Amino acid sequence: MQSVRCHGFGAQADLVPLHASTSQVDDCLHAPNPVDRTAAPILELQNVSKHFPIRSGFFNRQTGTVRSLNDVSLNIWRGETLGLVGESGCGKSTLGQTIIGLHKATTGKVLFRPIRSQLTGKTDSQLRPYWADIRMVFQDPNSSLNPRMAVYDIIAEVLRVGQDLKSRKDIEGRVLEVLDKIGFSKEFLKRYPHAFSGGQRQRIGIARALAPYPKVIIADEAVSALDVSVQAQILNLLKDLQEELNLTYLFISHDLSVVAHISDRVAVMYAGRIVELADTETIFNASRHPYTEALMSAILEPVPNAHADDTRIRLEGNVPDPANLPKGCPFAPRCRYATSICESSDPSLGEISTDHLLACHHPDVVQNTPVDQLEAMAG
Amino acid sequence: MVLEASLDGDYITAAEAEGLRKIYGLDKSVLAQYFDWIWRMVVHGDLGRSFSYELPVEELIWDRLGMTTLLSLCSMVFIWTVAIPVGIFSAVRKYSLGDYVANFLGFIGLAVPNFLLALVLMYVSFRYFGQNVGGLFSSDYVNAPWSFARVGDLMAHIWIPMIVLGTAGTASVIRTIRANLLDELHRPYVVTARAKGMPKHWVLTKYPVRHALNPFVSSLNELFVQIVSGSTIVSIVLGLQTAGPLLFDALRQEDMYLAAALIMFLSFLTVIGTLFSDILLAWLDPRIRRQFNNGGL
Amino acid sequence: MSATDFAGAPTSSRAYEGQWRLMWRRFRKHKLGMLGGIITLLIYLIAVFVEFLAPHDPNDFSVRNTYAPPQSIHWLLETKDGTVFQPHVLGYRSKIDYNSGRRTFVEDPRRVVKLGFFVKGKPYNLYGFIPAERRLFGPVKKRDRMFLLGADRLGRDVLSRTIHGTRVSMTIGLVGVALSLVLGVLIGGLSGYFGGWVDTVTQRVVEFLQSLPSIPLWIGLAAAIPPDTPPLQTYLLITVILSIIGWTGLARVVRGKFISLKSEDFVKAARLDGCSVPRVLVGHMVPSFISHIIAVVTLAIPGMIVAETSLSFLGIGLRQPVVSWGVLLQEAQNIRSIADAPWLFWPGVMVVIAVLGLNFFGDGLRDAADPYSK
Repeated sequence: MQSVRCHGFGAQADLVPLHASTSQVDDCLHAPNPVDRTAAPILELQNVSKHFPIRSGFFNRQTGTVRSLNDVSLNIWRGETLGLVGESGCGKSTLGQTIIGLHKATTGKVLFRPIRSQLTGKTDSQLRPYWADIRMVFQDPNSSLNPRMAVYDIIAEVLRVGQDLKSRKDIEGRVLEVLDKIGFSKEFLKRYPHAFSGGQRQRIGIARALAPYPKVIIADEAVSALDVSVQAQILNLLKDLQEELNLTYLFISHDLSVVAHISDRVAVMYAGRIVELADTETIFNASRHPYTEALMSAILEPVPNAHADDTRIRLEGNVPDPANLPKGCPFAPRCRYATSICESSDPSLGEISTDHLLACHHPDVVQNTPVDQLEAMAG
Repeated sequence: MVLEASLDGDYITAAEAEGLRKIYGLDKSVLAQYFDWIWRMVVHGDLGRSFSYELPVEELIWDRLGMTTLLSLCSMVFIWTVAIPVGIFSAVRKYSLGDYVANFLGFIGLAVPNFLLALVLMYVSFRYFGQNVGGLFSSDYVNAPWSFARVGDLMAHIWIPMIVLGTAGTASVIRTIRANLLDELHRPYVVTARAKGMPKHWVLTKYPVRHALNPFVSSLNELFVQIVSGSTIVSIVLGLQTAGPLLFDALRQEDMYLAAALIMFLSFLTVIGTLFSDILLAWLDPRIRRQFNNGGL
Repeated sequence: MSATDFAGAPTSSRAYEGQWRLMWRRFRKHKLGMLGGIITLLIYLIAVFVEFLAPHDPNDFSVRNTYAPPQSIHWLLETKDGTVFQPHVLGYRSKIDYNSGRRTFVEDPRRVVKLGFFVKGKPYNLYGFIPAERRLFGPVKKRDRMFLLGADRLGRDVLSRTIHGTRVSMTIGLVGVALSLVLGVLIGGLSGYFGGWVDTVTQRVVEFLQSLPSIPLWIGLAAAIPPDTPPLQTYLLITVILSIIGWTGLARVVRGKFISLKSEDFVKAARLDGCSVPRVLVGHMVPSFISHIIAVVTLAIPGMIVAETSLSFLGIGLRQPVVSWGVLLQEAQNIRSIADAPWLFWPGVMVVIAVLGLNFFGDGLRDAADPYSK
């Protein structure tokens, strides 16, 4: 098989010099990398859907379909961090795993630069060359690190099965290099995962992801299982690594404050589709979707009752059952602005202003009270 | 499979032997005999004739199968009545004397094979009480028609095989219930209920015991299969009038229709038992009930 | 950042220990498991050195000693030089009561049978091909007999026979379980790996087989073995018969482990590392469940031993001249012989000890199998 790995495009080769950001956002926001959005995106999702069959009964007949992803389209540009938020069960993780090919997409395409190679419709062995470029960091480092392997073996596994590094010495050199990047010293190499704390284990998980010089890292709830103080360390590590290695992140999380901390743009998912997508500042200050609004209001504030009018919106009910989606807008049953059109037709994702996509029949109904939520969320 | 001589040792002529072969279908291949047998059973309800008893198989087996069922059910009841309270007791009074005794008996039940237990029991009762404990009836009642006196006689005899058969099951059920209940007792909801002032026995019986019984109910079918299976060998050792010894004799005398019918109906019995216990489980466990309702079978 | 970061990290030697060392640590704490392990080890050692350990040939009979009761060892012997340390047993003087047809045995102080270690006994072939004649313990004079656990109907030494039975009974459990394991791992693994209809069909077959009563089936199948089959073939056929039903439990365990592991993140991670399917299986999944399999297998051996013993006891499993615990217990089948000679139960005691030992050992292994839980 032909290796599609392109090293000119890879790792440290083309570190973009850091300009002073053109748009000086609030200091507490993540200073965006100089992302060139006029270029072709590094990852392109075209109408990706993932449906799982439900089987039951004596003969395991298919008795239904779980529509985990519905018609998801989005672009991720090189060097940026796209945050993906939503309640649990909305399909965030499925999206991450479908992009990388752990789940095979039911319909739609995933395209990966440099040559817009199609990732969808490929078998594992066809995907293997790409899996060095796109890596994954899992949620729970306890279960994502094989407890029976020492740190060195965990990180070296990808290099051993890969084609690039042949000699044992090269592999060891690379492992040490990566370990250094995550702030580990050589003495930890022969230790087993149980000898580390949660945060340290997640660093090992990141090191494993970094080992084959990846371009894109899909971080699936990468800090959710960690203590808040450790979360900050890991997020900062990820940011430093991004600057140093010009990495692209798809950062999946249910935690808005974490997403705000690290993302350039944020996509909000609900019931297997993207309902709003914009840059971080817009999502946090000028969101238009009632669901985003509800999510924003749920962020805890550092000073309780700082705002006399309790702006918290309580969502009634649960995320709709993806095996049994409502006919119209999937959010309609819980939406406080829903009208009859919401119950009958499903809004499509459209651009309401530059780089601001929204799927709602009533784009102007959300009152954007410019609360100082940004302060709140960053502390 | 050669019937050269009848059981009395009288010689028969070759022609007579040939005639008998025809009657019993022995002139065909084994496979053909098998399918003939299945066919006659399905179509005519005819299970064939027993060679050694010279009787239709169905006249021989129903009584015996009935006894096997009765004995198995009695053993199940024995296990329930002993194991559940003992299991609960040894979990609640963990590391007490009673717990250790129950554990010890549990180990014995686990390790002593059924037939060995039966042998030891026979030895003990013969040696120290001077009586033979074999059989399900006293000699007066073996061939007597059913009557209250006969039932009483049966009840007086059935308890030894019942204990023999039930011991292994009792041991394993005690272990399961004890372990489950210990897990359950450490759950936060139990602590909460206690903290809110619920009386101890009330907390215990209302929630944890029910939870702890669930895995037990779901393994009822295995228990039943084991008991029916074990009853075969215990009955042979103790000389009970159940299906086991009849099967054993049939096999030794190469009485194939009788043996085949017995194995089939014993299997049938356990499959039915499994079905019943699954239905029981569905009835008790709301989660499974829901599964049944949504899409079910 | 690393210096402060590792403040709370455990830095004991445990940090460098792999799964087997951790399991051993855990297993050592399980007292019953340790006890069971030692018992199991001892019994298998007996099985290995049967010829050397048994004081007599298991088939040496002497009608004079029919149902001779166990002798007790006397340590001190009075000689004309005074009392010396000399282990010995006293031979029997037997009388036959012609009314009841029974023999009565009385120890005869004049018939001293001197005992010693590493004595020369009847020559034997160790493992069938190494000629030897030394035995661990026995009468010093070749022609003397001792019956520490009594004698059976033909005056054969119950101790020697029980020791010889160890080999057949204990290995039949191993071989039977090995066969079941091959079937179980193969079928369970395929079922768990492929899923879909393969899984459905296998699961239904397993459930069906598990709802059948095993002993009647075993009896039926074992009875079909012609009585004139050579011993080795009978042995193999019996193991096959036992594993025909025995594989289902193992298949279930393997399948369950397989399915739960398949969705583990570290298996996904290995897949994403670019490992081929065999490498994921052998390098990442098998090491995670091999310990569980070992535990389950250990717990399955006693069932096999009991099954073989039961079949042989009924006379449809192994047959004379093969010596297994079940074959020996056949001698104890009728109430008269056990009333007269309760020492015929000794093979049964061995069964109980072996089953208990293996169960404790298996329990300990099972608890230690996953050293990463809690």
